[in-house]
Amino acid sequence: MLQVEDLKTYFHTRDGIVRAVDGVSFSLEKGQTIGIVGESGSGKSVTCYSLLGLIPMPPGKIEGGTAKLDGLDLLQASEKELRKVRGKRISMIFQDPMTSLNPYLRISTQLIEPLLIHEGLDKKAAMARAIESLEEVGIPDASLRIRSYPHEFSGGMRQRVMIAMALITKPEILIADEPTTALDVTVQKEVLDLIKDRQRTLGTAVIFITHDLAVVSNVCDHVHVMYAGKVVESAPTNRLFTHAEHPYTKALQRSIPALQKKGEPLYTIEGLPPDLTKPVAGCSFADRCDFAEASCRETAPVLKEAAAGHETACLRRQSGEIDLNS
Amino acid sequence: MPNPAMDTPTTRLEEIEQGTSLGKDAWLRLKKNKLAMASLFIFVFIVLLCFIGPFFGVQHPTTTHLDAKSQPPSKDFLLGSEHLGRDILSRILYGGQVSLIVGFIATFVSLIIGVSYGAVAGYIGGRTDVIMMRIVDVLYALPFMLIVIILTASFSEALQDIEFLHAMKEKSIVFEPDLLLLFFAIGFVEWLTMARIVRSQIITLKKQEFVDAAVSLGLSHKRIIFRHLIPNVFGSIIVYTTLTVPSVMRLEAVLSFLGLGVKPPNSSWGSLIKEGADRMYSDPWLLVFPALFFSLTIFSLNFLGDGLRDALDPKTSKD
Amino acid sequence: MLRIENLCTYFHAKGQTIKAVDGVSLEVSRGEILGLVGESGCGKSTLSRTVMQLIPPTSGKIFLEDRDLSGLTPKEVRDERLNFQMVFQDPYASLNPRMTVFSTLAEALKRRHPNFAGDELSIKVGELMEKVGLAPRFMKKYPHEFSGGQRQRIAIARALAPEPKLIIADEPVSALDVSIQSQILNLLTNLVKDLNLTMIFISHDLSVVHYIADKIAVMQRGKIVEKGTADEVMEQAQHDYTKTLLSAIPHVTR
Repeated sequence: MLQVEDLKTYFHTRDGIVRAVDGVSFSLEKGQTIGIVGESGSGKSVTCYSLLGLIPMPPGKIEGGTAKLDGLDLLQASEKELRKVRGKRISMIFQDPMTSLNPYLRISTQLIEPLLIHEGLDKKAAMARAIESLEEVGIPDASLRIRSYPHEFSGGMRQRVMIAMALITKPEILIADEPTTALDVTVQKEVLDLIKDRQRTLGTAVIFITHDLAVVSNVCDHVHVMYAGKVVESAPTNRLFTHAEHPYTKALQRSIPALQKKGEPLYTIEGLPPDLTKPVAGCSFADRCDFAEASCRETAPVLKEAAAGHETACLRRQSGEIDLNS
Repeated sequence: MPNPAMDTPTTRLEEIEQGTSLGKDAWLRLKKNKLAMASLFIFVFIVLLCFIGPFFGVQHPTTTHLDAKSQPPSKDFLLGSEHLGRDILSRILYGGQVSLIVGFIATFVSLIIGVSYGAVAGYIGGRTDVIMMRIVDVLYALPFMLIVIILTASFSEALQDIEFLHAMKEKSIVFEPDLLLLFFAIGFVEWLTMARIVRSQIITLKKQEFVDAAVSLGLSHKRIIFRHLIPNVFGSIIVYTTLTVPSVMRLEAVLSFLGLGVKPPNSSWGSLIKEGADRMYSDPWLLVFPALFFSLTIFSLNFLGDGLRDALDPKTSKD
Repeated sequence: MLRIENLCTYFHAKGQTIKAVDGVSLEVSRGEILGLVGESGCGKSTLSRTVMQLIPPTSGKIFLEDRDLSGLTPKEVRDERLNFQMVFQDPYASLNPRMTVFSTLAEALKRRHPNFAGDELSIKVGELMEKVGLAPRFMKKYPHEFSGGQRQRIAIARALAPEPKLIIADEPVSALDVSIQSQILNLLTNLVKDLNLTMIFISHDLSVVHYIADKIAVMQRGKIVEKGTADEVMEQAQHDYTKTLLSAIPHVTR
């Protein structure tokens, strides 16, 4: 349904060109949930913002690639065409619902707006739909609460309102950008369950952007791991956690405190992510990688299949020199 | 970004790398703003012209040439002469000194009062803050022109009698009683806005964790205000200052235009514009040139202020 | 070493009394890490700020090495503060952006050793930076020139500078990336061991707390609802709230 090929988004800053997204490809099928995992600065959010034309330009610029939504290239689409896609076919929820809800407008006004614009409903019908949608995300007394302002809800409830708003037009794709990072663990679980539940009912495809491997393992079918603007590994979720085929993914998994024995030093990835303004000849993870050798710094790796449906961008794994799962 | 890897076992002081402060960073950004840099250049040029220009063969502004009254611009009088045959260029330069000095000193006065007052109110907070800010509100509500007229009218005579000032005014125009009153009157009014700006910024800053950290170290209130809080509002202070100088200069012009500010034989751009306006039909250059200098200065300072605001805005900075 | 007895901190707002900390008693011995767990609004930050003497307690007592801190004069409080230092959550907000690493650390060092000056001061600052894994040659740099993890190292160095007896770390890793989190956690555990420090580690993340802490206290609505050794709390939770917290942690499913 959505096919992204070789997406490149660069930022032209005073310090040089930041290659925030540098050749990312992925696809999304109807009803599927994919995860895009990475640390801050890995380009995971920029990837999705590029699809919806939400990159500030300048300094941002989409330098290449295509993103086909049933034949319509989102990267070439006019602002008018994009407006028809945003909020109708693709919706988005963000980390902080407070910044994406307008504090001066009642929830009702914000909820029915997309219905009036995209579906041409009259006010009364839209209101009924809006109350129904709040009930569906588990907000008690929806017909009363709909008159409230955003600040009258708690963090978790606000995120529910955001989800109701994003799904009210029954979009084909939902992009969730770190939707639970700002929430408490108990609330996080409820919100994740809610997203899963709504997705099952509506058949929406979800792109889940997060830095949290545990969250990914709970909600996604397929995971793309990003590092320094590139996808370094792409695999079905189960396989990724049992048979990681890229040293970065492996290292990330090993450094989760929950999986470590008490008293033993935590496994750490030394050093820092590379400076994205300086193009690297070889693999961008090479400087922090336990397995890197001279050749890794010379040839830029590309994603290749290591097992069925499982791709890795590690040269040494591709040549069979290392086995990360022995 | 520096690599944290430990490459030296012990501290070798000669190897320390210099960092880029936020101020330096802002300057680099400002340098890219052509309009702001052009404004800075024009402003500096006008200031130098007014203060250094008179040393290079310009006539004294009070020298009269009764044989060359009301001359349009010519080789002898580059910008023309007025009805007593005084050279306009030299009057503009000397008048500029007065206007600029008033602008700077009155702004400086308002800066000192406003920043300390606002910082203290914002830092202490609570009831003290409420009382301090109500005082500001009351002062705001007073009719400014009236205050200035009353001040100048009632103190002008008294100041004339002070021997010390008489002696000093020979050395520097700054001690001219009329000007002293102007500094005081304008500074008295302009600090109110500065105090409000600084106070609101300090209140936001005070909640930041680095202030908690400073308190945890047991630092004194004085040190926290002057070392940790005020440096972080420098940005807004500088921007507001560049916008205050022209507004002060405008005030001086208005007052001089009304005959309340600078009095003859001294002149300022404001008083020159007034004289020019009286004769604008017969000798238009009397109005055009002082007005041109004045507007250019005001424009350049305003553009510079805008440029500074953009350069210092943390949202546009690298992180 | 630190003993808190029946500590209460109330706030009054709009005619209501908010009991942010409501009768908390805790004890931390020397060299120990106490993990304080709870969700947002449970009062854990107010508790830490009350112990830090940043907020005055409504009632109750705080003892550091059997010295009662509740009855001190403001001057004594200021000197006593050196014994408590804090590492904050957000390394972008906890460092003064206008001060170099050197000025920040020197200011903290001079509180305990006012005589340090010149090259000696620079060398001490350098040693401090090395202790937290930063190269001393960056001491003249400003906070914005460092990454989040490095800034947190600077903040830790500042907390160590006055040679405190107790360090309160308030969510010190939750703003950091996973790969950086483990670096900072390792640094903290090593420092506690090497310098025989006592630490209160506050977090919403039970798995992190379980890894780092010797003892865990679970806080809900201003009260401690469960305390025990880290393993006890994780494996044999007694209180319902602890059980809810434990079951909500997203586990990596294999």
